[in-house]
Amino acid sequence: MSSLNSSLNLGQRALSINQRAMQTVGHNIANQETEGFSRQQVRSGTSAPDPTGVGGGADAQPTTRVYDKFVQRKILQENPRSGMFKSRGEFLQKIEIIFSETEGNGLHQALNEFWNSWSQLSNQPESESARMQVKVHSDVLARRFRNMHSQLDGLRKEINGRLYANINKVNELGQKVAELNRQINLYEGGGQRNANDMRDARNQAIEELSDLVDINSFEDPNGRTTVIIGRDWTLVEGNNRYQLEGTMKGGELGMLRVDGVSTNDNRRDLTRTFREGEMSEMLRMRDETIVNYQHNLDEIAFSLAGKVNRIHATGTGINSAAEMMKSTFGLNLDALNQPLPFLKDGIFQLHLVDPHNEILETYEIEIQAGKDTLPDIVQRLNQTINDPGLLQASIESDGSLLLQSAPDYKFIFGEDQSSITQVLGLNSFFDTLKGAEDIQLSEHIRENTNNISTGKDLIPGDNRVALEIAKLQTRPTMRDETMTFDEYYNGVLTGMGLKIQRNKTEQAQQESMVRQFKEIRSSISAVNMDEELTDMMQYQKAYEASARFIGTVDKMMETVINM
Amino acid sequence: MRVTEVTKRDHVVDNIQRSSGKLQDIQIQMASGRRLNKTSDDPIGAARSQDIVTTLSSQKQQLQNVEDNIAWLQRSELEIGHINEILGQIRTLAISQAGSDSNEETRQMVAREFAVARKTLFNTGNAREGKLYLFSGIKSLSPALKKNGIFQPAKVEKSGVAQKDIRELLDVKQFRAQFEGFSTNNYRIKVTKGGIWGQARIKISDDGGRTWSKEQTLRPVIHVFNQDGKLNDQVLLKFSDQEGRLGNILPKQFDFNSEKSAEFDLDALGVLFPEGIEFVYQPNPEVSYNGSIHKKESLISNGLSIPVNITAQELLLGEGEDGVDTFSLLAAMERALLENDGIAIAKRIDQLNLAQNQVLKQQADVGNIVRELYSTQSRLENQQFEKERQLSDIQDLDVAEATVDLKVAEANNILSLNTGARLIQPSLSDFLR
Repeated sequence: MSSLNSSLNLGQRALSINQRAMQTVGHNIANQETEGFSRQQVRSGTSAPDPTGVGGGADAQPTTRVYDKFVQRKILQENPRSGMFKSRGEFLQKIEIIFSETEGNGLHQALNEFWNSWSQLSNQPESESARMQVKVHSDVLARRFRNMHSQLDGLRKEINGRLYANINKVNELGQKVAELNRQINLYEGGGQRNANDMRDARNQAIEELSDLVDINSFEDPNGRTTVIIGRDWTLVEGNNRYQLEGTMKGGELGMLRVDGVSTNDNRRDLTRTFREGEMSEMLRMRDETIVNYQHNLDEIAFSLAGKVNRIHATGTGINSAAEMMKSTFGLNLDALNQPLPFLKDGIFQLHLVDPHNEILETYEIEIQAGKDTLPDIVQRLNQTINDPGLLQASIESDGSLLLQSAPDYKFIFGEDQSSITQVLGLNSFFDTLKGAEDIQLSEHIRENTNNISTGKDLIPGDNRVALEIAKLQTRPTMRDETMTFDEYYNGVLTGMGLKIQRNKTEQAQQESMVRQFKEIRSSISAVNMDEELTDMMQYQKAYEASARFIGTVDKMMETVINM
Repeated sequence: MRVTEVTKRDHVVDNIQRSSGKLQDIQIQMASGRRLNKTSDDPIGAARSQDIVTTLSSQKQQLQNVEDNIAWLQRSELEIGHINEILGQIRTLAISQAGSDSNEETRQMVAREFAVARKTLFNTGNAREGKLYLFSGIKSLSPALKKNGIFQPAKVEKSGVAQKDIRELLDVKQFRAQFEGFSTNNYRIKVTKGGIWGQARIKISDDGGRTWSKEQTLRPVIHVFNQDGKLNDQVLLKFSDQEGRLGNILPKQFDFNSEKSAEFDLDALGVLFPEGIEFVYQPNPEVSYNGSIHKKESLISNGLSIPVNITAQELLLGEGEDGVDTFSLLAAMERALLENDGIAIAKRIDQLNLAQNQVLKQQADVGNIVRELYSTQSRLENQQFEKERQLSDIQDLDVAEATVDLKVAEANNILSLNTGARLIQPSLSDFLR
């Protein structure tokens, strides 16, 4: 038969269970806004009954948290995509600002003004102010190309910096997870306790990690979580973590490479192994997307310079005959002995002119593409001229071509079917080696606007060359001569706009999906005040009842004692 | 589903965010007055609007070019009209002096008018607009017409091969052959029988050697014309030493037909013309074209250009077979007037008609080009209007619609704030005592 003492014990246990429950309610209420917190519950179980089958009251079970690990897994799975779209959207918008036309200072505007200035010059080839306009607008155009290119470079550098910060953040979170693994393992050692809050903190850390990189995580039998990021890099295993490191070595100068460092300082390049998450998108932006836009600009700048130069080279301006001219591009020793690239078969003409701009002699040589080297051509030129006292071609020490006439004589270029003027950069309008990055007005144009070619054979009112250049605006010149400059650039802009739009939709979809999962999680794990208050009242009443029970038992004991 | 504080808060925040986001979008559109503020607002529309902006901008430039060219051509038209007027007056005068109804005195007076007319035509041909010559083609900084020198050293050929100099051929120091006079004909004088002056025989061609005149005696001064060919234009071939003597100093009474002359020892001159040599005259009109045959072309629409020059060549000097050199013609008529030769004048009236037609044709051409430019101008202006409207359709905001949208968004925003406020406020704790 159970003693009154055991009844007292029962009452005392009930008090303590209710008190613990009350404390848990307090804990829940206090943490209702804590990020990643899962509400906790005190569960009680019945104590073992005595041999007669009378119940022994309640026993406290370990405090558990209300948590659905499948929902959490889903969130970890979808979160990296969400982070990817988010950072993609952010950077695309920055690119859009660089390409923006709305302030009237975009590339489009500069191109329009450039073509218009040529159109005007073609109408007034003798006018100094029209020449000035061409110079100014061409300069603006070249500068716009360079600016956009360097702004995109700036964006790449910014991303690089943030990448560095992200690497640190990943390492920090990895460290945190590893540390929590250790603590959880210690705390839960006997299997009697649940490290609820630490597990919440660990989940929170892993979730934060999933914003940055795509992750895969699972718990080992000891309650420690293994975290694998990217394709196959184990960031955390048990109590250990293997951190990432950004190295400058290898690849493009100044651009970080993401290395994984394992024990014994073994390194592995992980740059290409991230598929989703902010970091993967930043790498993709830095190494592909922005670079592609730069290439697009390069292509336009290159094409523009090439087409304009080709027409410009064989033209003349006002008194623009030269006594000396050096090609923009020089060849190294190897290249000097190779056939000159990009030539076409055909003739190349030089005119010798007197101080009154009258053509005295015309020298014509035949050039064979893929066969003639620069020394060949120089030799043939000098042979044809046959009088070094009048005009002479030579190769400078830097591998450039130098043409020089005797005093009192000057020279201009005639027909050039071989494109040698364009290939070597003779009498060019724009100079560029790399495209948008370094396009600029040729030096002799900057020095004197009279050197802008408008016609041929030094006739001041000749507008044939200017007209040809102005007509380039509407000629299909890009992509195997299928698109005009405008169409091509418009295509680039439209592509970008569509990309942003698509990303917006995808981002919205992805975020709404993640949000729904988080909502499900909240509805399971988050705190509801009303609920907690109800619980509180319930536990309060239960506590009061337990106390009364003890009081009653006490009275009973008194009764027994006073008997 | 369980409702928790977190889900409640998230919903409220989310709804407020969404409705105020929409409100902000409309606010930005309202403030800028544009529907399109970024490329990504409407990528396809942005491309179209860029297209239109480009077209508009280049059309604006084209319009300016067209207006410039219209001014230029109208100026040209004015000058051409002037030329036409002068030629008309000349024609009236020429008709009055043709035949035998006039007398020498009148003809002298008229000849003077011809001289003035030639000068005026020359000046008109060199008319300028600002610093630019109207009729020079693309050589717009050089005068269109230039006066040539009257002298021209004769080129010497033998069997079609050019000889360096007559001096080497004739072996006489400082001796030269020189043409004097203006003509557009290709004269050739060929020695058909060698010998000294008075002995040697020559033939003259006025068409570069295709037809030849009758044989005649070689003299120190030869009136070069082919009696069977074109009209005479008074070109002389003179032989002289450096001071201009020899050919010139031979006295008038010198008889070339006799073998030897009493006063002169012809052998002492030592000039022996070998058979077969030819003296070649390059056509040398009094006035020739100094401009370029290339005309300035102007862009009038995408990639299309039209010529906007009339050259003095086509206007006054003529091109090709039917072309008439107005200056040579007037010079010849002037001479005929001075010589009181009514028949010679009458002969040339046809030519004068041709010269005038030549001008009329150019006048018509200018008229056509100006008309084309005017139609281009009005087309560009219409298109500009139309394009601007299209652009506005694409990028500008429909204010009425936007105002309605704004009202709706505003209402939504207030509603979400309201419901949020009600949802969040009450709690069980409010009702506990």
